[in-house]
Amino acid sequence: MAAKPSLPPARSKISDTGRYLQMFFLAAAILMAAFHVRSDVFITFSVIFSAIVLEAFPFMLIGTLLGGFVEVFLSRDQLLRILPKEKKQAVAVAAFMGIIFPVCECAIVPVVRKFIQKGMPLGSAVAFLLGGPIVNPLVFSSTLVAYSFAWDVAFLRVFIGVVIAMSIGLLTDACLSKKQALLPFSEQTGCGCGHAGCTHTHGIDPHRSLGKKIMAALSHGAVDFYDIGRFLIIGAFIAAALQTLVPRQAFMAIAQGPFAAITAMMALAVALNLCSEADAFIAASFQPMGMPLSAQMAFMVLGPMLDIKLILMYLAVFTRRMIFFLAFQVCLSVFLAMAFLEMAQWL
Amino acid sequence: MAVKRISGPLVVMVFWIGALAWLVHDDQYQLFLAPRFGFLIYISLGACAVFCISLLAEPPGSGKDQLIKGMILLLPIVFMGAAGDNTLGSFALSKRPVATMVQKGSDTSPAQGLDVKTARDPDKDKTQEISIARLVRNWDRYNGRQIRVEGLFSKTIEGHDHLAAVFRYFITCCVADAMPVGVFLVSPADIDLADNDWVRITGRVIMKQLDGYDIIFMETPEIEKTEQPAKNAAYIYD
Repeated sequence: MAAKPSLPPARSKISDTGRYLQMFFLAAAILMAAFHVRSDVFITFSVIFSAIVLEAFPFMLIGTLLGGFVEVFLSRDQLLRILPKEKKQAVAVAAFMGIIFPVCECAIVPVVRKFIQKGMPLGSAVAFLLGGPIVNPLVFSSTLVAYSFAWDVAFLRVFIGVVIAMSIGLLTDACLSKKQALLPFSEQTGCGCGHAGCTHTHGIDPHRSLGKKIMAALSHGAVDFYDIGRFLIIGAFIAAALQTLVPRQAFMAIAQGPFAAITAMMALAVALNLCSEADAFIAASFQPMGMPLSAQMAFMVLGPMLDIKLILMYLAVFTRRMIFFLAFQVCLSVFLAMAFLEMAQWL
Repeated sequence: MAVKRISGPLVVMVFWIGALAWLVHDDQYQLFLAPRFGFLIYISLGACAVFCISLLAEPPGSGKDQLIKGMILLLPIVFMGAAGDNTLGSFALSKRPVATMVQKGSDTSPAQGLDVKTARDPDKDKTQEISIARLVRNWDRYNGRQIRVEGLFSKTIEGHDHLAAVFRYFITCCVADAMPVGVFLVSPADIDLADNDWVRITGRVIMKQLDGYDIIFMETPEIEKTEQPAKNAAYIYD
């Protein structure tokens, strides 16, 4: 396939505002490092920021690497053959695809981006994005361990996560078109590469040798990482600032009563940006403080679907309108599901 | 010719390989991640290396905002360097509630492993040297007993200036999920100790209430300053 040097970048209409914000962020971070290097606050921040990045970094690399292989080895037809033709069934299958692609929420964004480029329907992509990190067997195991092998808690987390992922997937299909929801990269035909200034030829070409295909997949992964990795870094930076400066006791103080507790734990899930493979341990640590299980569950279901770094990473895939839609729907669904369980006293 | 192969993504990957190698060296990564997650660093190292090779073989074209993207991706390396050999200390403690019992794996129940005969042991008044981890996991075994524990010292507690604490952090995956565990005591008046000094305290521990939460409290403790056993000793990994 011929090279297409004029292909638009992943965010072809990256606004000046976005660019200035990133420059401002960079300048602020450098100034902060220069002037506060000896303070307790800065050291605490540096340790937490580095830890969040180091924990998420390999998953992001694996995600982009997988994305590169999807780009080169999986054709649009092959992908569409995996999913049922009927929209609702496709959404249901996609919500469980995290079992086959056991990636956490950091790794799933680049994979979803590549699936969308390959023609995955919008609703299915959303269902995979939201449900994938929860049905992931590693996440299921960590929930089991954190809750002392309480199978009901682990299964309930998966059940609620999948129901919400499917509901929002169907709702997205009903309310938004691909054009309204996705950035221009998804509209490209042909090679489907969304890289800035990409000069690769792509692997679907059957005449390429396996070695060259692998090299092309890796190169794609690397450029993808370069393109969207910054969102992870900015998200981790904000999360570390919140972890450093906002006392967790403040959350406990406002978490009086089950509904306030659900809301507070949802806010905490968004702010802490924990990996879905670790968040169950943190949720369980709130048990001795009298936090209701519905609120702990809200923390575990919302965290893998929406947090600060994810919102920023979504900027590499979705339009702002879609991100608002997604954030609103996810928060509302999680709150309503937990409020229902609380009122029905099922937890 | 070779210069043409140097791209923004390649430079970023090379810097990251250097940073990750530094983290692997002397287990520096354990200041950020639990040791059992060390494999994540090796995965990152491997992925960065193969990305580097592929970028040399197939250099990408130039694109928009390459410099900004690259600098943002390099930012964590600057902060890792700034963190140095430091760990979370008393500042982080002021932002987190201290857990009195740790719910984790097979040690979930604080009563687990409680031996009633041990609790009524005639050697009850004998000082037992234990870790803070053991204390919080087996609280019922040590309730009312004379113990000796080691940890970081905090001169005051947020909102309670008359209280001090000796504490460490439980780490599940990484420092972001750190949960302080420790023992409270009345802030000693005549002692030359600073925040984050490593201390050993001896005394009888009981459960008390503070702002509606149970806390482990040590009565009339003896405090001695000691050397920090290891650079990551502030963390208890599980």
